[in-house]
Amino acid sequence: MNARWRRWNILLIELLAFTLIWELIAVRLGEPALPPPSAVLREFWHERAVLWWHLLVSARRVLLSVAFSIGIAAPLAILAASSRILDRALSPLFYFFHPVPKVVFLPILLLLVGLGEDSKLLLMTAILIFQIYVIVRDAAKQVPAQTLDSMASLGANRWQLLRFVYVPVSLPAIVTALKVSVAIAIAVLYIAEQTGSLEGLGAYIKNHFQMVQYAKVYSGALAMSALGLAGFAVLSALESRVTRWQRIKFED
Amino acid sequence: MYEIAHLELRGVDFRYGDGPELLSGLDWRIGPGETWALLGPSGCGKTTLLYLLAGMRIPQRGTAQYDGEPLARPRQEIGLVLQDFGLLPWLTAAANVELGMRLRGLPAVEREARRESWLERLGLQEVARQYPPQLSGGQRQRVALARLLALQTEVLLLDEPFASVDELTRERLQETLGRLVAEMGATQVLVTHSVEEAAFLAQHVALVLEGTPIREITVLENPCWHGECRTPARDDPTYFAFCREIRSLLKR
Repeated sequence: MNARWRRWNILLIELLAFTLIWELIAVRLGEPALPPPSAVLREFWHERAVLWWHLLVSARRVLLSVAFSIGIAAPLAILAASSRILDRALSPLFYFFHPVPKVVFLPILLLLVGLGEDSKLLLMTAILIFQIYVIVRDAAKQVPAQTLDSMASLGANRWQLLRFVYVPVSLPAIVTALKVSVAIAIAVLYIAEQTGSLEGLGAYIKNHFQMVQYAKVYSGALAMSALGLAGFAVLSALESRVTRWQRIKFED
Repeated sequence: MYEIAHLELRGVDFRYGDGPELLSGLDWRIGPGETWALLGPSGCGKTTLLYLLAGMRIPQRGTAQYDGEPLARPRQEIGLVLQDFGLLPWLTAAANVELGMRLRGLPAVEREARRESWLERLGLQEVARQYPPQLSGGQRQRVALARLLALQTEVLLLDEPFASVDELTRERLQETLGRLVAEMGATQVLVTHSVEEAAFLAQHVALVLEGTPIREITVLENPCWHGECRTPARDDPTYFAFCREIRSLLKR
């Protein structure tokens, strides 16, 4: 049995144990707010078409906000790492705003931009963009001086340095930033979809919570977890591709 | 005697930032097709000298020139191999060999032909698709040499190129380098800590006998160097005597 299968088996056993413990506690307590997993799974199956639709709406929001954020922050971070002037101009700004809790501005965003898609995407992008910048810029700054000297001796211009050195060095950090961003985007999405939204998993969970339909609330949470896991699986596959050169010595 | 030196330092002063002065009023003339080795204590500024000859550092006073023109930036005619080889770990050995040619805008057909030729000549075909972390020190060194030689530069600058390989590999690489430099008729400046390497690979051995700042270099002519015979036999008594002479001067 290879290591990957062993890992999957361990995960499966842990999930089964978790479900069993949850079932036992839920049956013992008999509390409506904690339905047993068997009831949640029944509801999940029953609601699968509705959940699928809400999941698609949420997935679209996550994808768009992550794409906007990475599309803006990663190039800026790489440029800042390669240029002292840009670094001095941009980095203090990004580092200053990074710890500011942007989610508290949601009501203001709703007032300024309205209840539609834009306010949700803007909030998620505003939260993601700063942390992506910090992660990617710090990684891109790690280019050894000897590598830059070597490239200079070969005659590399600024564009070639970006293409052959700074971008490849930053790729693993970009994937890490993506993985972190997907998890955070889903958490923020839940908050963003609570207000002025009828579609999306956040709205689904909120609506059923208000109707005291707890099995449906848990089904929505389950769908949200599935969304996060799917994103994580895709990014892990991408990571193993772009970081092959980092791991190759240990594999062979 | 040549009118214009191929490479020339004239009255050069150099220091890094506010650091100690490394070079002070230094003169050094290197003629076309000459092979030089530079020996001296660690940290005395030998690598800096090489960087000045590569056009990668600008002297604070005096001039560095190539064929009578000021060396203010790296030139196509000059190639440099750094101590850590400067290979990009995310490119395969073959892509690393090709990198300098790509940066200098050579057409793809010519790049491929030169790449294959040098991979073959340096015995790297079997590891062409491997990444630098998968290669031994000797193989990485040969990749760095292949990358430099594929550029067909007139001047080869080498900074302790064989420092991290075992004795037998080092001797083989020295023989390879000596043969190739002779074939190409290139000008070579080699920084080394090895007296034997300097005596084996250089027509002129430049010694830094005082500490920093370097004010002058003492030049010894290699008595083993005559006619077509570019590198001496390792059991040649004249070679041993020359090594002894270098060693006694360095000890003094």
